[in-house]
Amino acid sequence: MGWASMNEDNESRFFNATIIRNEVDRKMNTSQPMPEKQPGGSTKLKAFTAPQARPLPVIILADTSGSMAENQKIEALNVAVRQMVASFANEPRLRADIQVGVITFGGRHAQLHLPLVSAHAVKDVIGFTATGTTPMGAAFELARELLEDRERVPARAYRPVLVLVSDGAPTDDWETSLAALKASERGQKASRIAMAIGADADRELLAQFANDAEAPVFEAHEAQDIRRFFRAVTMSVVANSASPMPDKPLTIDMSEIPGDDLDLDAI
Amino acid sequence: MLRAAGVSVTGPGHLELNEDCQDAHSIKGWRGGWILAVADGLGSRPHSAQGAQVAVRSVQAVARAWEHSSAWRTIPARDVATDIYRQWLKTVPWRDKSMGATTLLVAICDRDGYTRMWQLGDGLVVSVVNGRVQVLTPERSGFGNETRALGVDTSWSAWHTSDLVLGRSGDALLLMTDGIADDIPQDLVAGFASTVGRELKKRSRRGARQWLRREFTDWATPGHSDDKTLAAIFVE
Repeated sequence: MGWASMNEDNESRFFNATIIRNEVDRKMNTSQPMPEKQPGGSTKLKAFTAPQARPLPVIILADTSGSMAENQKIEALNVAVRQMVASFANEPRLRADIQVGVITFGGRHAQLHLPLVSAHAVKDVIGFTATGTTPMGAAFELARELLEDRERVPARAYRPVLVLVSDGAPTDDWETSLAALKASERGQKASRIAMAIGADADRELLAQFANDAEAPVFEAHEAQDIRRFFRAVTMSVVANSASPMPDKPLTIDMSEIPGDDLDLDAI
Repeated sequence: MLRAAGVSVTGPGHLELNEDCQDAHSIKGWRGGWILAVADGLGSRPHSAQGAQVAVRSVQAVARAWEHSSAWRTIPARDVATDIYRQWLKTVPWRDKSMGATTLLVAICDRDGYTRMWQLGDGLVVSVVNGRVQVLTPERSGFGNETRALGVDTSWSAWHTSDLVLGRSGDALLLMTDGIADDIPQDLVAGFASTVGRELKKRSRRGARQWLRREFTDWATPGHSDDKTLAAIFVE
């Protein structure tokens, strides 16, 4: 190989290597359009994870005995529960999927008026009808069965909320049923809140049901207090469900819900 | 060859609140085997993050004090749990120990793959032996984040224990906190455990840690907020 030929060969090698190097550099440094990232979109473990947020069950135990027909109490309860479910349904389910169930007790039996389902799936809540006696013990029994049912309330669920509203005294054997509910592994961990409607409500019983030492039994002196109470429950559940820690016990603050007091501050 | 890997990832809930990870884990080699500990500090307690850290260190301290013989296999499980609990109580600085309450999962294995496991509180322990996946944690009855823990529960009946042998390639034992366990449906646990074992085997310890971190950071369950910790022993 002559001198000129060798030089040419070296140059050619260098030139080709430079071309290749430049090509590699260009490929590495040119930004490629990245597909929009989805949570868990490219992970190998995605196939094994639950596709829904954890449920946050809210179970209402509603007195639908005959006395609820007086003073528009049942109408107020109907409106309040419907508004609550509609509010829950509008929540974006970012941290928790709020589920609602309604147990009514009036007449001979307690019944599951609305099975525990995601609020988003509820089209309408059929109106309550006030009739008969107050089988509250049967409602406690039904609530306990519902909580203990691991198909409907899975272990990954956040702490459930039980809301009891009543305007009278039970007419069945409630003590055993309430004791069983409070002693059950899941019943004792649930947030239990109670509202007494009117003067005839059994406040002692309702206080036994509630388990928040700082929250007394809430009082409804008139129909609009029922709506205020349910608005307060709604706000508290929604705040919990959207918070970084949806499992904390529920606290109800009625003072955040405006009443219809006259604004006399300006005097 | 027995290998081990693990990671703790702070959950979005704590990141949002600018809080520390309340999970902790510790993985250390021991006589050709491994000592693994995973702890999940109870979110409702003010010093749970430190309580969890102390718990995993207590496990290491107790196991390392054992004499160099195979006698460790026959130490009654209750005595080991007692020693770990005492070490934790001795080390946490608060008068009210429940301020640092934490769950605890422990796995200790020797060079022959003989493995012992202890669990107090929530979380999930899963074994893969001869291709068979077994959940070693009993079914939980409470709700998310309701648990038994060091600092609040002193009964021996609150602990679960198990012994097994990891001998064949592909065998594995996984310890994970409820931030992961609660989002895995029961019927998918086997697939999850097998996949994790397989993926860890393919990687270096550092690579395995990176892979786990990526998976748990980009966790697929909507609205997940909890810290996530997984530690595993596996046979190459």
